[in-house]
Amino acid sequence: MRKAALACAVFAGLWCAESVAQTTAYAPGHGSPNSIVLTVPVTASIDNHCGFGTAPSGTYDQPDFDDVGLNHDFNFTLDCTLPMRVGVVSGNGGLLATPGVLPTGYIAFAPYDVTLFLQGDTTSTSATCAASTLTTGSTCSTFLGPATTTQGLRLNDTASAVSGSYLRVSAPPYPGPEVLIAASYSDTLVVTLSASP
Amino acid sequence: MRVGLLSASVIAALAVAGAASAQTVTGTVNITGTVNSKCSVNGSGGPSAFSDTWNLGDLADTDGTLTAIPAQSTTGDGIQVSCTSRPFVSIDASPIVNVAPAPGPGYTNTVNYTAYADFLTVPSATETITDASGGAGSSPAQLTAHLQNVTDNVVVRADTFVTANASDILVSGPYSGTIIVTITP
Repeated sequence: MRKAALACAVFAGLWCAESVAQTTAYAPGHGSPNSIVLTVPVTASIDNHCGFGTAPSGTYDQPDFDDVGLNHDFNFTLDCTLPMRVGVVSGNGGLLATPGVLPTGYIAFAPYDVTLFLQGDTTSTSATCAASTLTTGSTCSTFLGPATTTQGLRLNDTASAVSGSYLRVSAPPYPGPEVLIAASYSDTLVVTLSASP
Repeated sequence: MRVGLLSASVIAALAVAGAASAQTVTGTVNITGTVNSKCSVNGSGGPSAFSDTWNLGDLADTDGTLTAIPAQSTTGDGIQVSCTSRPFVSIDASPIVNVAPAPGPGYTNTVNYTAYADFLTVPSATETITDASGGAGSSPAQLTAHLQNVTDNVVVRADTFVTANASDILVSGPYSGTIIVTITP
């Protein structure tokens, strides 16, 4: 009886109303049964999630890029339980300097390309756009950010923090005809990821 | 009571695990680069030097004295120097000399002249440096503006060819001299 009473205290209301009338447990030597089996189903679920395992980050600095060009990969990992889209936005649309007065025939802006490669658990996808088409509202049709459920490069796969994804910046030596003026140049790429069921 | 509290905790945990986690996440990368001060000939990454040769022909007139030598120039040679900053420039001209020595007074193995380097600078100016052959050459001086990004933006010239005395007779043989224009970023 003491055990049955304890069980009632634990599962007050829900279980006791039925079990008290059906089953009685006795202390050993005072009858049977001596125990009551309680079944408590426990279920749980984890919703779909989507994010970077390791987000693209860091700085790539290339001295004399006018002579040697650009070539660098920013590696990252995807961690999504459903298809996703990745978008990129360039702050300047190219490498930009602010030298002040710019002489005729000189330029303070250098183009480069951005390649986005997404590696999923079983498939991959990639695309390339000129940085000039990656400014907000520009024309890169494949992965102009920010990513939404309908915008950005889509990877129709899951990705369990698998490695191999990268954001590549590349450019040949500057071909002219303008002369890149001596200065420090920079650009920023913002990479966004969104689930795309 | 303790068991009852534990059950409440489990229920709360399950509720959190079941919450939606749709989201947009962001990463940011920076690209920086530098264009250092540099100069090249005929385009980025081109050679670091240019040259031309003027063949002045027979330097002597029929009487052996220096003939009238027309002014010389590299205009039209297509020399284009590209500099990413305002360069320092200098010029050093050496006399036109015959290795054979002059046999004595009244003869000479040396022709002097004046050399020039013209630099077309933005927006539409010409800056000229000069050196009389036989001297130490000009000191480096920074152009006041960038070179125009056009063909023939650097032109080397020479004129006023003379001997020490107009009546001096030139020693026969080959003569040579050099004009060196130095452009330093």
